[in-house]
Amino acid sequence: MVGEGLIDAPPRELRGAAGDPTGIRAGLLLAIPLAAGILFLVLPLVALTARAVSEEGAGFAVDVLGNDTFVDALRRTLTLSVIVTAACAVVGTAYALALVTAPRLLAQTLLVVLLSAFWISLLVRTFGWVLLFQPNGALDQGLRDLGLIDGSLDLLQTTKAMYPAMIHVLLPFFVLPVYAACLRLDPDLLRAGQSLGARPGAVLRHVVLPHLRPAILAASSLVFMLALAFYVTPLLIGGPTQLTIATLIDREFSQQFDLGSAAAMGLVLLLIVLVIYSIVDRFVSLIPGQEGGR
Amino acid sequence: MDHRDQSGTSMARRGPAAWLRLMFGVLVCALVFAACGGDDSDSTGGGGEEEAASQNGEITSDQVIFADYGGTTRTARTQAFLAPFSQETDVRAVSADADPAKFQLFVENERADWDLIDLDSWDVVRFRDQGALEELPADVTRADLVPEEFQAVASGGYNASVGMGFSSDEDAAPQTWADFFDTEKFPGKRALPNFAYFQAEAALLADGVACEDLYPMDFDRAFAKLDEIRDDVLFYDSFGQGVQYLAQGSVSQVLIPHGRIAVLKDQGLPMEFNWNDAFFQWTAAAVPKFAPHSDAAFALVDFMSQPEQQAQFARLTKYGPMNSAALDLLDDATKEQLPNAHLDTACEVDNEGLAKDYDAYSKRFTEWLAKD
Repeated sequence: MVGEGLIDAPPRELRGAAGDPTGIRAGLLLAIPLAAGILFLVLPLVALTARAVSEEGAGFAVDVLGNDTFVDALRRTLTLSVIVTAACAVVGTAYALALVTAPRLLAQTLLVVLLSAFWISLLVRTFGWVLLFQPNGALDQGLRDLGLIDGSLDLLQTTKAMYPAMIHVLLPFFVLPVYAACLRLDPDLLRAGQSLGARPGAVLRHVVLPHLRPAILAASSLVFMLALAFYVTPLLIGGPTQLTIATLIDREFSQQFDLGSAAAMGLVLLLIVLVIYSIVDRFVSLIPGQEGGR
Repeated sequence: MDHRDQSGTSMARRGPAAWLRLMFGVLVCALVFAACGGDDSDSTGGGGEEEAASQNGEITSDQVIFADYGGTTRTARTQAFLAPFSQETDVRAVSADADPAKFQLFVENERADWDLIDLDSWDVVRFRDQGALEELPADVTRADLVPEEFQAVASGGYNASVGMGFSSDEDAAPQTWADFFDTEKFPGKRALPNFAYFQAEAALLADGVACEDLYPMDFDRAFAKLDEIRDDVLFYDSFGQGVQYLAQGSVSQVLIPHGRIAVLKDQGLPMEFNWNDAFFQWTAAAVPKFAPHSDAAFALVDFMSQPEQQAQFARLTKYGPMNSAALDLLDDATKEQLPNAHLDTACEVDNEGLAKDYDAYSKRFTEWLAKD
């Protein structure tokens, strides 16, 4: 396959040569993403940096990292993101494998259940958790009816209540890419493994999981990224006392009206994400289809 | 670091959906436009300031934009003020989400997006002192219950008392702010707003400070008192959510404007409001500097200050009129539900005092919220 692609590709010197109409067209096509990148990424970043530096001084990052509220929120956000990503990786991989191995009807049901999470608005799903967790809410009443508790679990506006809600919201983002990789799994490989005497556990460990590894890593980084900047669920479930980075930035911006501080915090979050990614990228490639690091 | 807190806390707060709009809308617009020079000057059309108020009763603008905090007051405002005003004048009156962050930018950019904003009495002081409010022309009707010193910029609003709403299912009714802070005698959780809104004042009264000695506030004392109930507090971000917590039995008491309780009690829900030491405040329909349709805005303030309109708004929301003539148009049952009838037991807010304290108050409050 790869070989054919190389043969079919037009000779290098033709591409982009002056006078070649396709070269001009390609250039025009490039202008759109380039303009979008400048308009939506570069300019806002420049404005953000300018705002942070002009209001908080050039050392804004040091100030932000010395702010107890920010450090608390950062610690909470990182813990949340790591645990949510790990939980999604375990549950999501099992879910994706179930989608390809379960009997047809069950697999279809599982797929519909998964996709329904995408079809129902994020806000509605999160409010569902609020109704479940609030004092005297559905969970409290259910457990009381069963005689398991007396008063209330007091889950709303705590950090621990954010975990199930965030896993619920983020799981589809993990399952879908891994599911796609499962579909590309060659059944002959599984048969080869079995015929060579491997038990199902060994096939999973030595054949299936290595094959899914790039997809699992890519999906994990996607979920981790989303969890870091997650806003709606921490806001509604965690409340104002359990601030994450995203809700803290929102508070600075829309309640404290401190644009400079919000800009500084946003940039520091961006830097932290870049640092994390450059470290992770040393060990595993985060771009699907490319195996291994440098 | 300059904490210019502008937290708007008018009678109805925006819900989470509005927060999202705010996040995306303002962030993207403010930053992109700031980056691009933001030079697309006023394109909303209509009469400029120079045309405003120059001619008597003649409105040249074709629309007027009223910024508020959504919720029940927006619905009632549309019914009692905006819709009849549009019918009478042919000026389209529309609601927008008030956002104090944006209000601040109006002065900076010398360009306003709204023509009117629903301001709490202490915010009237703050924004007036910043020079962000337009003076009302002499021919605009003044609401006589607005204190004299604010009548230059404030009319057409309503009054409200912020106090204790509680579930009437409980055996004993709480009487004082001390009862609100006593979770032994009055079990159950408490709901508080997640923005600075009379929490510190309530704590000080509960701790024995007299209403007239509240400002400048002793924050250490207030927040030490609030620490006592912190583990029993659910925070709400809109008044609607606050009464919802009460209605669903998640909390037994809530700090909230009386109107929210009165309207639901009328619908048969088991809740009561305690008028003792409730914080009496008023609001104004204020015109920001650089309002694009200020001529229509002044006409609308005038319309909103008329007794019949003021009475209609009071019937719908149970918030009190600021034009005393409106009281004569209301029946006794309605009047009994208004703050005007409970001034003898109220704690009247010292607006100048609160305005001075407000930035520090809001900063302390958000710090207290975030501390684990």
